[in-house]
Amino acid sequence: MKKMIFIFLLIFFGCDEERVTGISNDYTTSLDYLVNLRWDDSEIRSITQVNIKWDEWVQNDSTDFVSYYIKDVTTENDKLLEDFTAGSDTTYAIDFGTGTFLKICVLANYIDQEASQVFMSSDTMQFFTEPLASVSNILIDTEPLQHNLSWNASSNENASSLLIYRTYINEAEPIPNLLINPSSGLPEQGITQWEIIHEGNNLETDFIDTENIFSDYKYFYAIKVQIEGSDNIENYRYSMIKPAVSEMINQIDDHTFNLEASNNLDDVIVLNWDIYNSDDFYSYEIWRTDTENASHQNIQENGSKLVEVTNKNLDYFEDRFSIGSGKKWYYFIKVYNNYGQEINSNIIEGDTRL
Amino acid sequence: MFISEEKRYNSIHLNQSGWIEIENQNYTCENGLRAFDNDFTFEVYFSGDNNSSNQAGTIFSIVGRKTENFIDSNCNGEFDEGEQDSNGDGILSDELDNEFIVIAIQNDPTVNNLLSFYVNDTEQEVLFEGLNFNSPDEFHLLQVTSNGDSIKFYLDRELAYSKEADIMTQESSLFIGSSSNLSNTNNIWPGYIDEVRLWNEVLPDQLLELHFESSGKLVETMQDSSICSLVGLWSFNYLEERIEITDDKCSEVSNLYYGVCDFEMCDYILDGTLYTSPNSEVKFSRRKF
Repeated sequence: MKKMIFIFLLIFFGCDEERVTGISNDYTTSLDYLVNLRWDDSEIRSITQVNIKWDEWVQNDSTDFVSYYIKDVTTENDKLLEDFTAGSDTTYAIDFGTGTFLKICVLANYIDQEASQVFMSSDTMQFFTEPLASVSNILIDTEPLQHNLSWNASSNENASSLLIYRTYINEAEPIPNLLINPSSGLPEQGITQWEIIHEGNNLETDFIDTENIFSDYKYFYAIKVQIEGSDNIENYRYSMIKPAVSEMINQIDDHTFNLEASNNLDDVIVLNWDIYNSDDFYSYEIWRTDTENASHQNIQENGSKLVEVTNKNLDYFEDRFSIGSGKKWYYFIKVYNNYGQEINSNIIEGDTRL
Repeated sequence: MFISEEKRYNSIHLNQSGWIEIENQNYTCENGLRAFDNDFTFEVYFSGDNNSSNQAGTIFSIVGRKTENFIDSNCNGEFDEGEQDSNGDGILSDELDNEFIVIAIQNDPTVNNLLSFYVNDTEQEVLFEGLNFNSPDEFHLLQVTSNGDSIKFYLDRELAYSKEADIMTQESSLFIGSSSNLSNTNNIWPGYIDEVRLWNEVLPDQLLELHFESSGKLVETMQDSSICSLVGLWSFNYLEERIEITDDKCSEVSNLYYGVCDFEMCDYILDGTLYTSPNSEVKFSRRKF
């Protein structure tokens, strides 16, 4: 019996990889200092703040640290946000409006021992905040002389105050639009006049409109939520327009995105597209999957929505969401107009290189 | 008796944790990594492995450049009068680029049958029907040949990709199982490397075929002088795990017919070193092609 066990052990362990213990030889890099700008993942992502992080300056024999500059380089006119003179400062929180996309650059300045020459290392990447979630699923039950509105509240806890806007048209008038003045966050009052019919808070999910409801007019509603007390004018979000007569909507204008994705960068896939330039723009959504030949529907059911964009003029996005390397991702972008009509781009492939 | 055969390892399981650097040596044109600058044959016996990450793996790479390529006709490693630079203007331009991929091959973490071939920083993807480069159970033979004008990549003796190109290592190291330069190591291979060979000539088809059919053989006969073009041989056939990845060509040649080569091959050793990511280790294995 003992002999059998011995033979069994020989068979079992004779070719077994488990007998190999493994070996290590930790690699010590000799690399020059790199800023290596990134999200500070130790902080929870916020819709009003971006937390950035970079590598600490590495002291060496030939140069001395001077400072870090944090810059907003979204436009050609760079804006200095902060400077640090301690090499150990490697995190910074930047106030962003909701739904804001900015290119942030961190510069490390250092000089040689004779203080005769200044050197810089820098790194730049796109940071963003998600927009405030709008109220959703607005339903209007029309009765004589009153409209019963209900909706799902904004999912953002930050959303505090709520305003219900209303406009109306005569039968023969065009379907109204809702243009927002970016400097005030209020509806543009032109041909279409939007009036506030209710002020409340984000805990509310219904409202009965009995104010001047006439059968000769067609009514349209939009609900705005905002972060009360915020200094930032961007911290609001309108819902899509909801007509009391459901078929009274504006069709979306034709649009071709010409979406392109990079395949030659080593740590990011950059998406570029042609913006939807019509003034009924509501939002873009960028979707991604790693499944080849997936349909738009498949991607929305099984893939990921990377981001929602409420800035009509944004025409690029840096995907750094666990993209790995040498891995293919498949993207499309969709645009909604403010009546919820949508257009999808083609699905395109993005990749990173070694 | 039952385990009487010598218990040598056959391969190394890099497992996205380790890689091998073979540093350039200032040998002659024919006897160092500068073989890559001229005619060469490079062979890797490998398999993949399951890859749970989004990171591609690199079978081998040479990354980084200092200048534009040039024909180093006197093999001194420098651009001399009368030598030809790649754009032909007679002036060797600085093209410092630590990211420039001279040559490399990587898999795709999700597309199991895809390899990406990099030559002079351009990438070509190739799909291989029925193959799986993310499986530990499929060993393959990759053979790369260059005559100085064009580079051909063969997988299991089938031509996979060819490109008109003249590559130059410019003192970069050869990395097995990673994409590395002076400052970074990325894309570590998840699978096994059984053996790697570098030759300073384009081996004849007969010999390339022999290497596919009989992976243990380097040449047909003990008198075959083709062995003299062997620049490096890294077999991983060790009795114990180790970080010194020795160039085994010297010991192999010493087993052959005495004096088959008219130079001392053991003078041009290209030893490598196994490195691992922090807090990780790799294992040697008895799996093989």
